Amino acid sequence: MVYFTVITVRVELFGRAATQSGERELRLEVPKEASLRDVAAALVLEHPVLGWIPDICRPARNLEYARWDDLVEEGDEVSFIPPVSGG
Amino acid sequence: MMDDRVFVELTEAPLDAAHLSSLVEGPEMGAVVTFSGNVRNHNRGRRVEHLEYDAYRPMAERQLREIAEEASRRWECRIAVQHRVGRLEIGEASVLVAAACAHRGDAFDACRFTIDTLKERVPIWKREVWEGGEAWIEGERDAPVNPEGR
Repeated sequence: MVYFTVITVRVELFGRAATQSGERELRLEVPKEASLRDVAAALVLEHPVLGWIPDICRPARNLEYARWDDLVEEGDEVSFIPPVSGG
Repeated sequence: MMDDRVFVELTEAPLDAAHLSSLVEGPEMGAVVTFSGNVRNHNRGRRVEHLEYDAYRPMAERQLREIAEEASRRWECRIAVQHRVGRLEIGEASVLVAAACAHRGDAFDACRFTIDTLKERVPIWKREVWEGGEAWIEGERDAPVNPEGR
């Protein structure tokens, strides 16, 4: 029997991700030592309509751009940023 | 005049360029450059009716502050930036940048750096609404608003 320690991260959605999923914020449980790539995969599992996220987004962790391989910690605020169009 | 070197804000309220300039002006500031980005009635051949801006607000404000602080350090100036969120009509200002420096060259450069960097990395998106359709704009591309891909 293998036991996984599970942590919870908060995922923020907006723009296309918000209108397509109908959510602006959700909590996801992922294994300890999950990467941002793993969090995106868990998000797509929950909302298959967001399948484009890993292909075109940059990950962000705690309000700063990050790398897909970066690990998340309990309570982190995570998001996936498509190409922006402000201004 | 503000105490801090930078001021950044996301707001639903209409923007006022004169007010933003007044925040950066000061006796040592010989040049103030203000940039206003306004909502255009056309984009890539479409007749735009209005825009809706959405943002990842806390990250957008954090990124804006970092950009303004970098400009303020590099050109020794004061920088103020405001960006609208929510619905905007044609002709309204969606973004304002005010840069105040001792001399005009630095003020132009600091203002240009700030708006260009904002457009590269601050997490804000526009949803373009035209007659008979709408799309999120992601970089230069259209993205569907609804799950059905419409």
